[in-house]
Amino acid sequence: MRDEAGFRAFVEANGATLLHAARLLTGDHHRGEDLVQTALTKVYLKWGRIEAPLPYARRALVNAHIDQTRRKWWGERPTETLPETSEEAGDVASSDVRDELRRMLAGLSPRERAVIVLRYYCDLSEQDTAQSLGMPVGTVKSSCARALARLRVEATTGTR
Amino acid sequence: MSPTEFDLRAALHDGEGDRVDPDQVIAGGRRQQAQRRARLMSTAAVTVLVAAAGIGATVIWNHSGPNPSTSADGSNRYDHGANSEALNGAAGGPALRPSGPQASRLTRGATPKAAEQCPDSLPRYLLPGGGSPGQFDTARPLFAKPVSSVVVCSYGTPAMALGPTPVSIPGRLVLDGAPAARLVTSLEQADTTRGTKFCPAPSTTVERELAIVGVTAAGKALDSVTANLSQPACDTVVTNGSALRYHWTPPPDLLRQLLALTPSATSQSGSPPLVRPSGRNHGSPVQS
Repeated sequence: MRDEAGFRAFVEANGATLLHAARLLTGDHHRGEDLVQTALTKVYLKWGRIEAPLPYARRALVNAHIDQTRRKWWGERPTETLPETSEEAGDVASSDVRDELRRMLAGLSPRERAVIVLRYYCDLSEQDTAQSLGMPVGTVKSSCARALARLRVEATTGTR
Repeated sequence: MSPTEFDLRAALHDGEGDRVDPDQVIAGGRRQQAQRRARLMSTAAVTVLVAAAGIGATVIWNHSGPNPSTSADGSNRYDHGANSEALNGAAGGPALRPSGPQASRLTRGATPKAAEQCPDSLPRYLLPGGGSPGQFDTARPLFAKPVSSVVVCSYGTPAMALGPTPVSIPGRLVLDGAPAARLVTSLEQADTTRGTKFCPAPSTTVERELAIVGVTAAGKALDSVTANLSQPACDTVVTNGSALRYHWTPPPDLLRQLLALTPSATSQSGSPPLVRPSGRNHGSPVQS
């Protein structure tokens, strides 16, 4: 029998963080909710058989997100220049740095976005990020540097 | 001025605080689990169904399919008694192997194994009318029904077939399709009267006492027809106890095969008495 009380406690403790990470990954409020639902359902189905639920949930979140954006002609396509509408131009003019960063985050590729979210929102080390994404640490470093350059963020701290 | 990592972290944390409803996740998980289970059950059901259909088809095929003893090309099959060995070069050379146009097609459902069995000993018939021509409707067909295959059983020389230690495991040749039809036609079209025919002395010592069993397409074995055969084939007598034919000459290619048929054993130990054929035909298989 599945330990539903344990899973409930896990969701209570980490659900909000995972939901916000999902929204950052998708760049959309509702798609973020769908994504976290998908990832947590996978965790629920494996509950009791996984040793570290939170890393598993993060990985499920990122994988589900990348799967959703992979090779679909209707899926997201990262572009060099962000499509800016006339209304948004007015918003940008009045927005602060945070809003602009959130907007620019949507211009990154799904994998670069995942690196940024895991590194700077979930505060994972490069090793943990690499483990969560299933890629070498070197790739995480290069992806992170490229993403930061596109966000025009000055890297002020060293690697952890 | 470029944003710093602090700005980035602050931007990423901005707006968080919404919670996830665990009940909703659990309900979704249960729903997905039920779907997965149903999918698994339906897959298993389809697998079982397909397996059952396959087994059923196999059983039906085995019941109505070709005889396992049928050769790959479905043509002539040789069988030396219980050994079921094909004649090879030693027994008759490559010429005995069915080939090319002689090979008939495999016909499903023909010639069940039971119908291919040879009689334990050479059947002995009284010649109808004492062998006198034209009596008792002896011109009637040798085979009461159309046959799809023919089993030729060889009991060896007359001495072997009719001697004190008769052959118990005769040589056997199964003919299907065209070769069978040619053999039957040659038998049926043989002379119905003995008449006077000059027969040269046989050039070889080969002489065979044969029982020919016709098998219908339904797999029913008809009454045996007995014949004696020599080289050259002449002055032969063929009968099933009611019909009678004389001077039967098998098709040349079959003649060699029939003469090459030899029984593999006798009912008693020891060599069968080998009597050198005199060159004359011994008449009907046996008159008791």
